[in-house]
Amino acid sequence: MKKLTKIIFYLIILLLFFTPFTNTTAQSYNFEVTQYDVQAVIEEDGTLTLFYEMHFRNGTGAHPIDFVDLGLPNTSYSLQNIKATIDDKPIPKISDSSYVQGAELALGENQIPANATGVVKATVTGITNVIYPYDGNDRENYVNFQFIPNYFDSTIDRSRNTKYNFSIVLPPAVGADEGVYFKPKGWHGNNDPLAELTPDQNRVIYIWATDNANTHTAYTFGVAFPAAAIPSHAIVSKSEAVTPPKKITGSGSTGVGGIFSQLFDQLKNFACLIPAVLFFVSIGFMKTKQQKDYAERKLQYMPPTLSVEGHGIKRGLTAVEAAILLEEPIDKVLTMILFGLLKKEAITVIKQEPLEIKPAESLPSGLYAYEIGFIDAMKQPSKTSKKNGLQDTLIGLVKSVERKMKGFNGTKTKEYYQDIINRAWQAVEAADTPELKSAQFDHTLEWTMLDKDFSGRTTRTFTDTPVFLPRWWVRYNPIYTQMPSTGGGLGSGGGMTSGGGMQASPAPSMAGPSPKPSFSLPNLPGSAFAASVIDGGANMAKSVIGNPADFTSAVTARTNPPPVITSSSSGRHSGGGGSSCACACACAGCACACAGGGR
Amino acid sequence: MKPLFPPSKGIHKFDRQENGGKSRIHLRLEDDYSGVLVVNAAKMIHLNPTAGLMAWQYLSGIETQEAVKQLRRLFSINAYKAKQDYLETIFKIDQLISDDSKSCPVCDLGLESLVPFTAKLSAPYRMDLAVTYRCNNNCAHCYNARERNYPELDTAQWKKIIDRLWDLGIPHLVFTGGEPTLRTDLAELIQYAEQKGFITGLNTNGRKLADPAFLQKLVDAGLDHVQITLESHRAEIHDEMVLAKGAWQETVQGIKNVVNSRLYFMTNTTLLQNNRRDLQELLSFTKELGIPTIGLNALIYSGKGSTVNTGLPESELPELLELAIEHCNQSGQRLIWYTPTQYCHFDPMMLDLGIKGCTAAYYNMCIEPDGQVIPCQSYYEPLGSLLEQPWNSIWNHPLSINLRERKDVPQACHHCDYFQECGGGCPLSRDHQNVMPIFKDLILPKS
Repeated sequence: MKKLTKIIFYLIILLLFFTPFTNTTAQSYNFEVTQYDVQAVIEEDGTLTLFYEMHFRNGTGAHPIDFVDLGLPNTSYSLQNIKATIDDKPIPKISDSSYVQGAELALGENQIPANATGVVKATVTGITNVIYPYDGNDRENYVNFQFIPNYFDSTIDRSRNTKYNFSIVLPPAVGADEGVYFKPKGWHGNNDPLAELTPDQNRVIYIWATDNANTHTAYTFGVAFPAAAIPSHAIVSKSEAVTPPKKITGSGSTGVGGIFSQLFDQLKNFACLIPAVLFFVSIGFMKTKQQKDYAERKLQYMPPTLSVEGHGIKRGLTAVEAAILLEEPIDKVLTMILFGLLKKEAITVIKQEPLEIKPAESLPSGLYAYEIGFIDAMKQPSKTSKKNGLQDTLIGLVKSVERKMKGFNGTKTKEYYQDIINRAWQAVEAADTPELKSAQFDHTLEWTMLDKDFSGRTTRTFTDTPVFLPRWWVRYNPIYTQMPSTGGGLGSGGGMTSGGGMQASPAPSMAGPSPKPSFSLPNLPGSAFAASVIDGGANMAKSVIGNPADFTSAVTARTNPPPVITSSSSGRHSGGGGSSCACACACAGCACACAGGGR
Repeated sequence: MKPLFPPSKGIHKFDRQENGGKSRIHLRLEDDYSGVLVVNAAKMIHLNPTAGLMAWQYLSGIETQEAVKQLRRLFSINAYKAKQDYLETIFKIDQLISDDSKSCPVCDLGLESLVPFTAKLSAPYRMDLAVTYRCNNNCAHCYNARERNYPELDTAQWKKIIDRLWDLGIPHLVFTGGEPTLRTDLAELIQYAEQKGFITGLNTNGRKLADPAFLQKLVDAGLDHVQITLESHRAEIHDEMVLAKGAWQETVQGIKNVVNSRLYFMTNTTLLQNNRRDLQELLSFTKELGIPTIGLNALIYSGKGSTVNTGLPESELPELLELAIEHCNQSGQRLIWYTPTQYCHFDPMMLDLGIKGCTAAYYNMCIEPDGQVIPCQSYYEPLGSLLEQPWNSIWNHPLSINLRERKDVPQACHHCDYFQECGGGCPLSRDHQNVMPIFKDLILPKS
């Protein structure tokens, strides 16, 4: 046997994780205790020494176990007498718990992360005022000692088959046949302990052990022994013992730890096994009823929320800018720019792989800076210079979106643009004829492209009808320039192979309402059209920007560099390089609300 | 003495000393403990009931362990969750209160972002007290629509008003007029309000503040901030606009005195045809005077302002404000733009001037010299006497609701994408401007 020990304490894991500069997406605490050793040693001088060893296994995805609160039976302890380790490394910070009566062990950098194990050991010496007079009639000059070892909140403690060892060591002066034990309450093992003498000091020890316990049930243990075994001043006097326990408030508001310390205080008058158990049961019942009564009156708890008035939604972003805001992949953003320029007839693709474009001799007015940047980059002779130019363009675009978003509600704005995407699809789906559907699809293509399920939704939307290719498609797929033209200049013949290798089906004449009804258009099945659009991005990635991930890293390194102070960057990611603080004071509800100048 | 839990409905004030400075904090709690935390009458944080209680506990100095117990007495919540939430909440509150904190409330602290003008209030944040309509200026563009000899409440009645406002949970009072410094009991009223717990301010033409002794009386009374109207850096233009010879000299002297006091200070200038050409010089002049904050606003179409015909169309404002922004960027001064405009004509957000919508009968209201409550300093439609009528009938007067809920705006505005922020501009100016709001749907027709 290692050490003689004794106990009365409860213990609670307290979750005080508090990271000052991060958003508050708290994980939940979820752990089990696989082994739990508690020993209470009643020392020669009547003080109590506690040893405990807790083997934690933290749950998958659970909040790290970063604090352990160690409940103590009363306030007669000193923090200096508490030593603790985590995985045999000293726990440097031990303070009074603000949660339970007892101490708080801060695991600090040795906290137990999710899906990991850790062993917390603690020793508390010199706890006084734990022995009470024995009031039963069957023995004279006896004292008793009862306690409930710590248990945890069952909502976070998943322990089921904890290897649980609990022992009480009596003072050295207690003879082998002088000690008695109380039948434990709630215990999942054998009620009768193993009674032995410790090998080193021949002291009486009672050991309760089982592999079927848990650490969220309250187990009550107790012993009695001759009062002469300890100094009389170590025995709490009757007058003190009948003083109402200070922690009983009758409010039902104390925590689990608080309740146990109250029970401990109440148990001090136990005289013998039977009365003690009855008294305990009685108190326990009354408490439960009280709590039930209070629970019925209590308000439903809603997590605290604080809010400020923001700028609201930033409207007026282009689809490409919205793509940055929505953190779309950069190759998709470039594809959108490419198609935007094609629609504006500002460029023609003269080769898809590797991508080569030819700017229009006279660029249309009103091009955005990122569109001009794209054209300039693609005019560069070498792949490296093209890539650098596109990087600069993207960096400028990201920063521009950041500026535009300053002071606006990022979340609401993203929702707004998601709604735009949905409305764009709805407009396509609501079109009456295949031609109108295609025309609407063309009209809103930059928004539908933003849909993460662009390909699938295009296929579904155009299940029964093909996509009639828009006029500008000829600028994207050079093969169409070789087709005989009708009216608007697009070929109508079947059997064309697009750049993506799809087979275009014969196009009917567009007789119905359409933006350009006077000529026949080729068409593609929806899935083929979507693939062709997506291939545009893939080809560009392959031929110009190289690995999209590397290219993205190069952009985000300049648009979202690692902050000097990591106060707000954790957890952010930026597929398109676009993330920004969008929350500057809106001044809507501030002192600078209309204040009545003008006199 | 240990404060009783749960706290009472109404306003609770807390002062916090930090880094040599002082924060004035007001917590307004409603019946369900939801509330608004107001920091230095400038920063508003909306709290749900749990956060309202936690804010009160923290600011009242209740220890964490006790706070958790109190929360568990009130709510069905386990202790670890209560404590975790409590510590997170008070950390946020601490950061929000701290002057030094550079934390973004939304990104860094995880606060929710409310859509502007959607918070449900039971009373405004600020009440303007037009203690008199008398004035020693006679501005040609003045929005005052009352006779100068309008009946005034006496000192005792104003104190009752102040009591009532405190009970309503309003933390901020601004003494205005007319010219409030003409009230001989102004310092007494300020002191009364300050002792009650209000933050107090003064909107004035500054002429009386040219007398250092008078100013000192106001400072000693506890006054917190002052706004002085300065129309031009040139005496002749200022005096011409305020129709009072020699006014500029006194106003500028008043400004100099206030700059040298402990008061938070700003000037205010109405941009009109009279002074628009000299704006750059005026701004430079404010810098020379050491004025930290410059307020600008457009003509208010009320009183003489509705007929003076010197107002600038909203479409001409961006150029002037860009100039002012550039000046402040260079000078380090702060610029505050007040006027609500129609965003289709002038969008203040495009110039980073903040959201400027009408806040009458919402964030602020005004009490006339006779005790009648009006929606704002310029909107002369009485809603009821504060001393005689229940607050509910004033706050929920049909006109209050119309203004708050923006019911009387042009039809086109209701469908505009900017409606929530813009709200159709200043209700007083809508009837005096010849341009119609433009319906804006920037991307797609709504389904």
